Amino acid sequence: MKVLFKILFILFLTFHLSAYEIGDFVRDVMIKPMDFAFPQPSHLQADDGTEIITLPNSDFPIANAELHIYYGRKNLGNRKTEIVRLLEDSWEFSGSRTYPKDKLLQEFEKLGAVFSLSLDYEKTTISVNYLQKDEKRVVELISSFWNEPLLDEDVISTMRVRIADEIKRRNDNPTSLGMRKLKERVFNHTILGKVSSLDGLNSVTAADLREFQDEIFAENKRILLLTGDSDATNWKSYIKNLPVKPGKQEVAEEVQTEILNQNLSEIKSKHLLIEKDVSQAFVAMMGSIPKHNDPDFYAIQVLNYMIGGGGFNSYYMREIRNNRGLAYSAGSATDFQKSYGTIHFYSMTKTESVPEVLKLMQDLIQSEFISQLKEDELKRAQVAITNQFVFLFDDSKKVLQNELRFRDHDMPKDYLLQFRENIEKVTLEDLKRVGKKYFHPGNLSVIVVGPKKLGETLGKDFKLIQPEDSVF
Amino acid sequence: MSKLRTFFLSLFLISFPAFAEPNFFSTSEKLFSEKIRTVRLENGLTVILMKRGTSPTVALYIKFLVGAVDETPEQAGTAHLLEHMLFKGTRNVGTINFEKESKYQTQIEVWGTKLDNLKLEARSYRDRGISIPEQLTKDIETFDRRLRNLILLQDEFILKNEDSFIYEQNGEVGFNAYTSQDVTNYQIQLPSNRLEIWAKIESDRLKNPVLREYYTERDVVIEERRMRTDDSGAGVLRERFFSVAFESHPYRKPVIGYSEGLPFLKIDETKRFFQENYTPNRMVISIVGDVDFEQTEKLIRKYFSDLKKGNTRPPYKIEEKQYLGEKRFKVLHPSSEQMMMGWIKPPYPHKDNAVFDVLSNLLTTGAGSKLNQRLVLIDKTVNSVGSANGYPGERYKNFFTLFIKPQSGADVSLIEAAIWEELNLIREKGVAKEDLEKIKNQMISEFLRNMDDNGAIADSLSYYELLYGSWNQLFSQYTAIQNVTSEDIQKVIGTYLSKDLVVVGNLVDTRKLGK
Repeated sequence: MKVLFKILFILFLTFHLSAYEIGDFVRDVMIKPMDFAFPQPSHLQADDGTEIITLPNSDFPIANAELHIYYGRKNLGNRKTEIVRLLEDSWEFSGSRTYPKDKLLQEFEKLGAVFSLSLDYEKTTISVNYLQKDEKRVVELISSFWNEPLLDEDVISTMRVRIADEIKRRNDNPTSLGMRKLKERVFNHTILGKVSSLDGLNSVTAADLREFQDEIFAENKRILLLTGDSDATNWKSYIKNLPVKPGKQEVAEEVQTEILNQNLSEIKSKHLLIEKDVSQAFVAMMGSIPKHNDPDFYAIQVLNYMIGGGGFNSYYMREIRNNRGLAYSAGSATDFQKSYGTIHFYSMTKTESVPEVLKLMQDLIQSEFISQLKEDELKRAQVAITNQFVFLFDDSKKVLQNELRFRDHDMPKDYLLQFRENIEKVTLEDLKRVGKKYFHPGNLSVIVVGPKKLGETLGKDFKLIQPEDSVF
Repeated sequence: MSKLRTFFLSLFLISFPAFAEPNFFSTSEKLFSEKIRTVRLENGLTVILMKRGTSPTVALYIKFLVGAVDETPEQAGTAHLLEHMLFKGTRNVGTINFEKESKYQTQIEVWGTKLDNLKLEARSYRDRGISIPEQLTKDIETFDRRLRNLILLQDEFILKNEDSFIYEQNGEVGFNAYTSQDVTNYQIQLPSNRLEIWAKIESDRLKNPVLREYYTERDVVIEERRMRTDDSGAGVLRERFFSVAFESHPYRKPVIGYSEGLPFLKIDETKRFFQENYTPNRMVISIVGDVDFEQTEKLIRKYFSDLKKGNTRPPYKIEEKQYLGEKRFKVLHPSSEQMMMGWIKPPYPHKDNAVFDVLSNLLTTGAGSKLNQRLVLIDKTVNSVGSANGYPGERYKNFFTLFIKPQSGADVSLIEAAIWEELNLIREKGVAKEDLEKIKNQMISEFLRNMDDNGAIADSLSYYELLYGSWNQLFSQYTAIQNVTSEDIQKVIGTYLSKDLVVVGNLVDTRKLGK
């Protein structure tokens, strides 16, 4: 009897131990329900139509103001792409007539304020972070920047030399080199696919810069984001000091997913080996996905999380890094925009492991693999994504920037409210469908940045090019 | 209006327009004290809790006073490898049955160590130009096969990344760690109702670690070194710079270790390093955000009180002492030219350290800084210039360092000469009052900007508590900065920034040499 009891006990214990499921260690911890309310930004409209969105936080006497002007690189038309970067640097460092050259920046520095100007694809953004007590002075300085613009020839010349050197150095980092080359291919025929050159930079004139600057001044779609210890009603009157100026403008290009798909299908040799003398190669693949406001958005988010976007719990990290020690970093990332989207998969590995890693990266996104994903894996990814949701709101600046982004992307009004529910609705069938449509390796452009000798192991599918060669 | 804001506003009204007044940080410290609770457990563990913000989230940082500086040359890279290994689970996490798994873990440790020894033996033959005996090659193959089989057998029992999985399911953000010369840090942000999950996992990580998957993870670290150092011009220059700059002190070793040593770091040694250094008397936890003081202290006591107290570490004998005379080197790498210049100096809380903080700002922060004006805007010989005070660590004597990216083809000797000229100018003529006020204003706003992030606050509080014995040294350091005068800066340049103490390193682009 005693022996039987012992066996039963051991069997029970064995069953119990082998029945351990991932996460059981903390299963006994009681989680209290969490009270959470969506932060509610306030909206105002200035007399000139500029919208002001604000989420004040007066814990510290420091404020942040960001003026988003909806005119950017997308409005370049057929002009040289180098105009944008040269204008960005020259404008900031040229100051104004009252505060010429870097004097303006120095005035901000005296106050401990941080002023910056950025000219991106969609927008031009003027930001300033300042101590609340200096608000009036900060507004004076920004007004001077806006109303007495100065594009100083000497500054333009300094910035031209500096940007030229950046162009010469741009192939130092294998990752940024690889990503640049992928974008050149995928965004061909669009402004996003244009790359700066020394010749292009040298041919840009001060008149080109002034013309584009005037067009930015003429844009009337503007949104001001205010966070920290700032008062929206004050800014409503300040904005009068930054008037929209009359002037002509260029129509914006709109990149559509179809253009990217066309580009991907036109690439004859899909694979490129970009020669660089490194001990660790950069391997990457890029493809197109639909725009942000597309029914497939949620399923792509979940699948991307499972494959490469979910850090240590993603297949890429598990199979390439943890199980084989082949890379320090491996993963994937999506970029959803208003009218298009892209996805890329990447890894860095010692040159001799490139074929193995590339094959693994491709195998893990084959339809056959995705069709074998299990319900519990899907559930885990959904729980992870929905539980992280609260961190979208832990910083007021982030809250406002997200709100603006979702609005720019034409997302539904209840997007955030419905986000978790829509993620939870994703099924294994959805994963199979979006996997086949957007993740399939046959639809992706592949590049490897590494030494020439890799060509021997990668085979004929790869065309060897130099970092500054054409990607076509 | 919050109490915090009332305080700051009144302070500004009092101090305006001479905003950069020295009481700002000492008074801020009092305000912080009201928001902070410090708990010290019997075993020596210090816990700092700070309540702030409106989001129902917390930043959780665990820091240990152990880093690369605490390794012997043979152990170079061990502190960092150990940081990786502590994510590999415990007797309770990362396994479906540790009892069954453990026999494979033991075998792997034995055979892995033997294999490393054989490979070292083979390397020794190679280095001496002697052909490797056939038997040794066969043994390496056999041991390698055996090890791989054992790893496969152990894999049956391993639940990969279970800690990461648990945190992910509980909404983590930023689950990560870093190792520096001085400290090792483990960090995460969680919804505040998941605090006990964190306490249970992290205390278990310290009580029952299992260094499983050691040999695979060691390969991952080798890949990390390739990425951060071997294929990076800045990484190679930095590594060479400190190996030349320090002659005896362990700050001369890179945190990640050496490419020739990493493949042989021993598991036994890594375990011993853990046991000797990861003790509560060298550990600080900081929790910032939506914190309930009473409940959090209760949780901490429940999970961390039984950590065993460690021994006090004797002071190091080695102190960096150098003969006078400049040190100058070139390092060749296929990447664009870069330059580093540095001078040895005392660490915080030495009074001169704060002077270097101000000097760093004066020289390279913002458009109006002296070197930016001279090198980037006037001479146009440099793309960018930066500086760091307290490099590569802050526990011992360290370096004040300049980082320069010259324009392609610029004459680096002219750049160096211009830097000496600017330093001499400051030494002879001093710093204008408005320049000093500007710098101090910048430092106050920078401080306030950093204080708007739970993670940044948790990182700072735990760092100052660990290195300097109290979190409020953060404020003392800023107060010291506010008291720096022009004469202090002139004196420091004269004392430390001499040509007899300088280290100058240049990275030369091999592509231009045709190599």
